[in-house]
Amino acid sequence: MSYVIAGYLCSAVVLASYAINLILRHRRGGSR
Amino acid sequence: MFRDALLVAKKDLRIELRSRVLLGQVLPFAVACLLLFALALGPDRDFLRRAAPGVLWITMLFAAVLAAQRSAGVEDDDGARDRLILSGLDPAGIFLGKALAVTLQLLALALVLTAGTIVLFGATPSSWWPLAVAEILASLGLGFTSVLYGSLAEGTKLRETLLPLLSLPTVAPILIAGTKVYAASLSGAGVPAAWLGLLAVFTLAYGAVGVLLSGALQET
Amino acid sequence: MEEQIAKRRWVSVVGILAAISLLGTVIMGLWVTPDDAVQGAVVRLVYIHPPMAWVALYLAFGLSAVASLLYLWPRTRNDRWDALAASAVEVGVVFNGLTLLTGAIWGRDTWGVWWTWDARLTSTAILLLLFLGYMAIRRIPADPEIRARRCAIMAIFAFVDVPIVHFSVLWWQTLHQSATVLNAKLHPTIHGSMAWTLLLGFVAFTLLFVWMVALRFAIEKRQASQARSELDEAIRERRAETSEQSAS
Repeated sequence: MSYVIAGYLCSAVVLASYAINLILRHRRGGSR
Repeated sequence: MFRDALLVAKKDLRIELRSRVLLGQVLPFAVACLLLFALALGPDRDFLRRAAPGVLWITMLFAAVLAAQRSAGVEDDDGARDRLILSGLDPAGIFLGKALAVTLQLLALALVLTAGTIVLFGATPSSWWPLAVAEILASLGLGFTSVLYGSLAEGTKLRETLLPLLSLPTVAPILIAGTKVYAASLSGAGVPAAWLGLLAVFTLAYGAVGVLLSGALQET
Repeated sequence: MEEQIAKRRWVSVVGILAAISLLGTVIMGLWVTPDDAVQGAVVRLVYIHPPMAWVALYLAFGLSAVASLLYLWPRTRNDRWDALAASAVEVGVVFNGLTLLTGAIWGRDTWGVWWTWDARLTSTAILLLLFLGYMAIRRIPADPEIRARRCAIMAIFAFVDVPIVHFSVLWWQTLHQSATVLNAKLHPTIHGSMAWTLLLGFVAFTLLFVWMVALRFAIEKRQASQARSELDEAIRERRAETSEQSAS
């Protein structure tokens, strides 16, 4: 079960980081 | 288109004959690869025999990368590339011609490598024709991809390091199919029609892509 | 202006739906669904691993290929297709990497090894390399049009390879003579609540993909227009300089 948690967690971390990265890049460039 | 192709093929082959890059550099490199693999994989003759198919085809792939760089590099000097474009030759013909030249060089290489693995690795096929067909198809397929990726990476300063990264994953199916055919012919197992079919599909697909995109490629 | 607001709202809606369905998948996957009879708890990875693979391999690759074709075909040529292709590839790389990671974890739990030469994992690895090739080409400094054309061509080269790689790796794996435990595929039998959760997983990750590509696309377009206006600005300044010089 711990492997499953690890899998879900890693995926969540990577996707969340990328999502935040996208949002920040989107906000940063140019006027909104 | 085919007339232009023959023209370009003859040109590239004539350049090759005069400069002897294949003879003087690629061939020795390939033989060196065989030796290095033999050294790395140990002196156990049985194991070497089983490893021979992989060794041959990996070496073919590496040599194809060199051939790709060479094929694209032939027109590096003196604005030869621009002149080739302005010559009005059909871009598809240029693609096919260069691919044909590379194919013939790779076929020659395949012959040498096969002889090499038979001698050095003790890997004598029990039936020749599947391997022969595979090597012809693969050389043609590699010829197509070499010219395609060569012209894609052309004009960029990073051609030497970029080309392997681009082309090696793409030709993985050739590696897989080729080794399977060779292994089957070593063990005397049945004729692997599926693998030969795969090689044919690969070669056809990239030939078609090359012909269709040759115009767009020229504009990069 | 209205168009921009409308588009942004659409994207936000997708984003929220994605978040909700992802949360639902996690809850269902980790708590509600039962363990598998054969594989035990590790089967819960089936709710995220195959969906991510589907997104990475089919959605991302397919989208980049279609967009690239549209870019190359003269009648539909438009910078937005290049931006879309590049966005799809970048997001695809992320999903691709995660597919490999979750696949490795699955293999580790089931068979004790970090890597199995499972057909799908191996194909995914090769396709990841193709994606990376695209991104490498994209990083080469070049005229935007030339870069776009190169990338589009690369995307098509890679896409043509996808079915061929799939079959060659599949046969490589399944036609292997000596059957070992590692030959077993990561395919458990799915029924009941598991099936619904799996479906939810597919929907969730698809929505996530769409949202991410939309964001990335907007970023790409803005970068392109910024680069263009910087270029125009530089040209204008240069012209101003030279007209000053000729005046004086």
